[in-house]
Amino acid sequence: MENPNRFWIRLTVVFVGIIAVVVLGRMAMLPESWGKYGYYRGDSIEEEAQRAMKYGTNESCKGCHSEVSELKSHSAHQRLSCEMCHAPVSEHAKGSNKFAVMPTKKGKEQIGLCLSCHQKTIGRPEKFPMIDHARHLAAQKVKPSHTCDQCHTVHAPLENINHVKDQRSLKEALNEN
Amino acid sequence: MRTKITQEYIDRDRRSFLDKVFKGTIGGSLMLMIPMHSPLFAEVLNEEKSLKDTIDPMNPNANYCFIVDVSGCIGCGNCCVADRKENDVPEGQYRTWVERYVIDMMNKVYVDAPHGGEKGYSNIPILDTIKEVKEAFFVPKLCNMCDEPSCTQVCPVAATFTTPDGFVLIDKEHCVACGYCVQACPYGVRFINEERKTADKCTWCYHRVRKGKLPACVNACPTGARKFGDLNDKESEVAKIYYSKSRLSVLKKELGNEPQLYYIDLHGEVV
Repeated sequence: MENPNRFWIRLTVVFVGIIAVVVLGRMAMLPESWGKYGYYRGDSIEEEAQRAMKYGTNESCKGCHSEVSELKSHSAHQRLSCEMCHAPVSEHAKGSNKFAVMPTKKGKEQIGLCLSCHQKTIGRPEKFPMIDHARHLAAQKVKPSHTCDQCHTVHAPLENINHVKDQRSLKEALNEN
Repeated sequence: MRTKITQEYIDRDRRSFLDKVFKGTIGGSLMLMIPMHSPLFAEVLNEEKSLKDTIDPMNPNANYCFIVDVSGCIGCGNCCVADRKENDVPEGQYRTWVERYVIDMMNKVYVDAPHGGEKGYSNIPILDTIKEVKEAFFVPKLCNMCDEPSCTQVCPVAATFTTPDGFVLIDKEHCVACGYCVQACPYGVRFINEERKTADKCTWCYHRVRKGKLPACVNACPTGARKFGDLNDKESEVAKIYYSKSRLSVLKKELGNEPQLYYIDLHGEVV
């Protein structure tokens, strides 16, 4: 005499089997931190957060180059990031140890760097100090081969200019008297 | 026997001599390396610590926000350069870029972004097509960090998601580079990274923010046109702008993505 419930038993075994496979498979395939914060791998957040920085801040440079930092802090260039013209601090120093020389821009490269902000270009706000490079050199009566830093100290662009202006006005005042 | 003793004596002597030389060298160089009681040195060390080691705990209460001041952008492209270096973005792909909108007297709008604005702009191609410029401005573009992102909804393997502190990130190990999110993003900020072969996009420099630093582009911007901060911190620059009278707008508001990237005085022509 066959068991009249044998179909039910088979069905139950198959169902339980399927559920077990799904549960075990899920456990084996999903990463450990899955579902820590939501339906994704929670550890990937920390992995991204731990990625090393390449750019520091101006504070990173100030530790060793306090004199430049001081000069810059009163000038029109006070907002500028040091790493904008030089290179990321990670290419230059680790802690207090310097391991590479910063690419100091000279000659044509330096002019290009200055003009990347100060060349008169359509779209730039009117109030921003802009020059037409060729015209500026002609107007100042200097050679076309002049580089910007021959008149403007790059860290404090108007430092020398204002100094000369002060001297000139002082001289004129003295001459008048 | 006698010679052996002498040899031993000589060896010992040489050994102690070398010992002294080594200790002297190491001691001397250590004295050179550690300037005691130097405040400068301590400062550098602290800075280095914050540069590398310390990761702040996640702050789910923060409401991070990015504000771009369109009138402040001069289109120098420094943000793009900094971004490329900070995040190892392959050449020819952009996490952030700067567009230039030029409007002529007939109210026709011309948009250009050569090299994503990374190498700067010149007048030449624009002046060839436009005789008289009525208005022109630069618009930096980056990830909008939507509150209701389209990109995370479509990912078939849950490799992109919103973190508890509100950043939309990509799990680079899980991404299968199907490119669905690239199509879904209405702002076009996503791309398939050619080197890593996964989806990639601007993260608002999540790795810097968690270390208490500003995103690389904000740090690099010479005019302060890019601003980043926590809206819940009432002292932050972004909160002061956000709660002031300045006109803030978002891109493609009608899509309902609710971006957390705001623009000050954005022109209606910008899409």
